[in-house]
Amino acid sequence: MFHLLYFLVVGPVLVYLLVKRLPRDAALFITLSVLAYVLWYGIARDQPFVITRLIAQGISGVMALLGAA
Amino acid sequence: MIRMRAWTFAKRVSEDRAGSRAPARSGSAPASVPPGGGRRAAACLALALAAMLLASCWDKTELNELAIVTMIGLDEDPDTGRKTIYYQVVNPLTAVTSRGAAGGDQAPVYTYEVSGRSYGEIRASLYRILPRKLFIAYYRAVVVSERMARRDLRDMVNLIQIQPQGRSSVPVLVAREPLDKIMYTLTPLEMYPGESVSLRLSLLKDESLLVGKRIAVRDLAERMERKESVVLPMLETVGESPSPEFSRLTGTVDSRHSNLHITGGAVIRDYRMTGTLDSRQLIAYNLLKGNRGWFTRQFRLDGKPITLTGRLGRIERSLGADSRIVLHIDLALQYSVEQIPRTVEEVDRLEREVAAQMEEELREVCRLGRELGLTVPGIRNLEDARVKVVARLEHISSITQPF
Amino acid sequence: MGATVIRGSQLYFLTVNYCLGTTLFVLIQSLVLAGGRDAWLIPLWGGACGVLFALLWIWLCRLYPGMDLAQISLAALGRPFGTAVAALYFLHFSAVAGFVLRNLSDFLTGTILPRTPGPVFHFMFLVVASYAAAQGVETIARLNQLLTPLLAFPFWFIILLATVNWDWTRFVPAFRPESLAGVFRFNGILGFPFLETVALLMIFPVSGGKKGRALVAGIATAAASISLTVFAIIGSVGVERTAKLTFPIYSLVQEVAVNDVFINIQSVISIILLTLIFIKLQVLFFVAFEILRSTFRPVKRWPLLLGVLLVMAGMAPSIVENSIQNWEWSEKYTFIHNAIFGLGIPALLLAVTLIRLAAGNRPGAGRGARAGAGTRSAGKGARSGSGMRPGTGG
Repeated sequence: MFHLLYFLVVGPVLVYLLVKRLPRDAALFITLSVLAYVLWYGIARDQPFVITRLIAQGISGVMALLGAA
Repeated sequence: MIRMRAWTFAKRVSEDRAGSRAPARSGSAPASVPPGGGRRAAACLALALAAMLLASCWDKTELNELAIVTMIGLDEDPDTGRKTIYYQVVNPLTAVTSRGAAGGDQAPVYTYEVSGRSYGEIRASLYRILPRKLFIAYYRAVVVSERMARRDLRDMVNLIQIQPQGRSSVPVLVAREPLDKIMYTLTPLEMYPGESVSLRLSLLKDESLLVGKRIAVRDLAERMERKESVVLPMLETVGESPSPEFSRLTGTVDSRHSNLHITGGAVIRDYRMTGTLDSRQLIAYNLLKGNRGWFTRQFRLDGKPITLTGRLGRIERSLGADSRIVLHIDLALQYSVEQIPRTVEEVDRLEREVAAQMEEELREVCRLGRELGLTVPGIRNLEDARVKVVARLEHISSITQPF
Repeated sequence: MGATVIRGSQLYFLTVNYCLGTTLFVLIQSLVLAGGRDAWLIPLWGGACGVLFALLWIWLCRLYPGMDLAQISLAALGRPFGTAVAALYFLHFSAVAGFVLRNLSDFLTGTILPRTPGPVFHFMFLVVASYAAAQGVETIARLNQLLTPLLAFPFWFIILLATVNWDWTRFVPAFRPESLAGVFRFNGILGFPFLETVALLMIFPVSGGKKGRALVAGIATAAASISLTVFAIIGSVGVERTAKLTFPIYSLVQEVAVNDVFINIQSVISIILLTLIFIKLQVLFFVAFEILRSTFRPVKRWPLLLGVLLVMAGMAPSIVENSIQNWEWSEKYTFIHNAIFGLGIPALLLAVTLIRLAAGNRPGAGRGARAGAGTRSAGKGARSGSGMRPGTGG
């Protein structure tokens, strides 16, 4: 269901960009769509990919590295 | 090259300023701005999307789907721990009929009583008897049973605060009698008992000092958190059990037939009711707090009664190891029909007598500080405070001598 | 993007409303919990630090006149690193926008509209914000200028109405050492909202007039407003209750009753707060969009708008799990996270620029007469610099 909706939105835009031969636009849009897909996949499964946890892990990892160094 | 760049800049700026609005309008609009019709289409699309999302499909509520609550009653059985909530809901069918007309036997409010082991359970089972969505945003008063007040009021405060619609600026009253009798009583003159009670509270505050200013849920919560005391008004019914037919009520002139009385004050300390104050003590306590309403009392002068109306003129407090409160009371002879002083000497004597009697009253209330945990804002140990009263006659009534 | 299309005063109002954004209803409970009766001091010292940060940013922007943040990072660090930095900034601003949207939907579902799912609010606001971003910065600035008096006067009027319940004893005893310690320990205030103002560096270059002064004055005004609001809330509601209420400003206004006729006017405050939040979101959306557009220069804009919209709409439900995790995160990591992007990277760019200047390399063109006129910039800098100049079209 989610996949259907998502590709219904993203697909035509991608096709349009490719047809109009706009490689830079298409690349940019694909990157953004992939990022959004990752996020929305988590939301659709009711297990959102919690960003602040990720950042917190990153920061504490870096701090541990700096602290150890 | 840099000069050329700068020149290109300047040219662009002047172009912009010169007013060719359409192409160079926004500094960040490159060639892909759809001209004219495309922009209109984009605007329409944006509006259409916005309108769809604005439809508020999920939270739409029609007015006739709401049960508008005017008064809430809370009770807790100390033996079984069973909690009961009473919701007094407005009956919309009587809202537009003129009072006194033979408008049928409909009561202006309906009281719904729901019990459960916890407040959550109550809310869950509420819609077994209530056919409309509960809407408490307009309630006027919260009544708590005395047995619940004597145990713990924290639940009531939390219940009110946790609901997003529950305003905590409504007054709290303690019921002297079993709560169901109070919640099933109708009041004359004002259709909704909740409104009747709340209007009376504001009148009492200004005209009689029998009710304090800070009696709302939020004041209760704040004072308890600050470890101070608060005095809440108490409710009792008059007349027999509520009449089963409303039409009997409209037909009688006796307002005692079914009415709620506001009497006395319940002292609450640490979320628990510790005792009560009677009318005289209430007036004295509210004076100590610095309330500026009028109060009327009967004093004795030379063994004869005289009724005087007084108001706090000024209150001075010096706190510290030796807390002193000095009250300057302005007196008015508004209702003194028994005797009116005639000479300056008599006025002096009157002032001194009144001051002495008031001082005695106030000291008595201060002594209750230890017993009931009574406090005044700023003074935790009321029993250590020393009170002095200075009375001054200011206003004369419409007659200088009683007939 | 070289022309000046907005005025200094518009930048000022934009800064104020951007800083105020979600602060007024998200931060107040945390401030009072940390600082107690002296919590109103926290925004003041936070604002002072914010002004210092802003001076740092202005210095950076002065070294690259007319270039926004993305162009600066490309000019200073070269194509690969500059693009990476720009992409990082994009992610950061998307995350901040996700926070804004999430706070918004939490607020609305917690108070007035309990049944509506969050993404409805997110999409609603994002659609309008993307339309505004397509119109450009001038539209946003003008809209903000129009809205500011409509927001400010009702807001302060309602706060004034609520002061009937004022009690000076709620501030006593003031300036106790414990509460002052709490005041100065609360470094979250630096992260949110003052370091988020780095987003305005995308709009800074197109502003005319005394833009440095406008930015600094905007931050100072926002800090003063927050402080005054906290002061009003402590005086009207009291510390004990504020520390326990989720949205103290909403509860404050809920209890305002004008003569028993105008009761329940909290929806007015809700609208004002919503509009402030929307302005912040609009700026963030525009900035994120501009970063990508400025760095990658796509031909068509609307696919990029759609992409950014999808990313932000995905960020919003994912940014935090619930308020409790949000609280924990903001206690520990807000300052660090925002400092990376608000202080760390600008400092890096500044350092790189200064090093290159000292070495004789002038990164990017347009240094002006100060460092000697007419010198051609050499190396990578020139290529990327000249490639990014708006004068060369595109």
